[in-house]
Amino acid sequence: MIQISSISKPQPAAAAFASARIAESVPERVVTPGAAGSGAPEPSKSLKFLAAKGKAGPLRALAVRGAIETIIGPTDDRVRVLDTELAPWRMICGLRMRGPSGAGAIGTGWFVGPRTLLTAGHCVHSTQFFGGWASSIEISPGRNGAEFPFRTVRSTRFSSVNRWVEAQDPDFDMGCIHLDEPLGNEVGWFGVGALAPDELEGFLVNVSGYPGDRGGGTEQYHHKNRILRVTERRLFYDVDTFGGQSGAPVWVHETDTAPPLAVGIHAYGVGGAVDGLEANSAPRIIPEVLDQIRTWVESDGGWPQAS
Amino acid sequence: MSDTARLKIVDEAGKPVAGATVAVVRSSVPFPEIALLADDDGVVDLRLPPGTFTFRAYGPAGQSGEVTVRSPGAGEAFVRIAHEGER
Repeated sequence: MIQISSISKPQPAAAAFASARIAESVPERVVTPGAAGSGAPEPSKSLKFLAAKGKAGPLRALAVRGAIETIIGPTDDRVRVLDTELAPWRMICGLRMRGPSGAGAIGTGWFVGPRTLLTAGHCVHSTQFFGGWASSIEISPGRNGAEFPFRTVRSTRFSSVNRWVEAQDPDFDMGCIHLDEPLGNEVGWFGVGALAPDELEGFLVNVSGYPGDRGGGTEQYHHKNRILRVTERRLFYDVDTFGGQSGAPVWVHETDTAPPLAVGIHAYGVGGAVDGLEANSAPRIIPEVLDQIRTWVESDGGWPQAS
Repeated sequence: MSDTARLKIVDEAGKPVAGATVAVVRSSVPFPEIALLADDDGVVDLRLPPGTFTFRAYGPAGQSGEVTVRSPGAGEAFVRIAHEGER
């Protein structure tokens, strides 16, 4: 087992967070708490009609492809989410990243705690796009075109893990955005689960984020399909996505009435497959990743204590 | 091992398109699913691993266009974007 440790973007003052070693012997199926937030409580119609729940056969057969593509099959089945002011869509944020040179990029992030978001590692640190750490990221929860139902906040404090920062290993492509204000209390946050491979097999997964091809990263799009393969550190699925959806949550609903449970961080719509399987993929939430997420959330003040 | 590439996004008249979004739609190797934003000169700079990459660019008015580059040796490539039917 390769161990991971946290690396944070150096701050002008003292380093914000100490590195943390990850324990190996964490039991399988551990879950962090989710919360709907204090925003409007009514149920989302989009959640009712769009979200995939439970386990099933594939919604659509895999198409044969001659090259590695991001839209899988002959049609693009993404659907725009319009009620983004409701849970869980408002927990998902459009990101605008800036590098030290001024280079700009679009990505997606999602709340896992009051002051903590998860995203892809390459959204916070990329030798390819930023030459290192991003300088700043603007975060717009539930952005819906020109509407910003929960305003936009800016962060300059980011973390990732050593295997991403030092080796750009796709299996470890995960990052964290730390906020000064507890915006998550308003929009809510996803529960995150480290499910064993046999638990994940056959689940329908949901991926929703802010692609660059439709609305220029201002509109949220969702698609769903079945998990195709689970490896030690990756999830593979046949879901239509596009550039800008990096960092989006990959989540399941264990039953028709269960809340969303994030099981991966979408990072690769193009490539990154194993054994010839061409599918989109995410670093999987495994116990040590979940432990790292917990450490990041706790470094931001933690979750509220249950009363 | 990576190679520097520069993509320049231009419209039908050859003028730079500031704020165009650019993403990889086909590649021979894994590529992160990020979208890059062209600067005021319509330029996107990035580093590419060895392989072949097809980029698609979108303008603010819905124009689009593609270019395929090979790395190493990508250098500077132009992406001409236009409305469907005008390409």
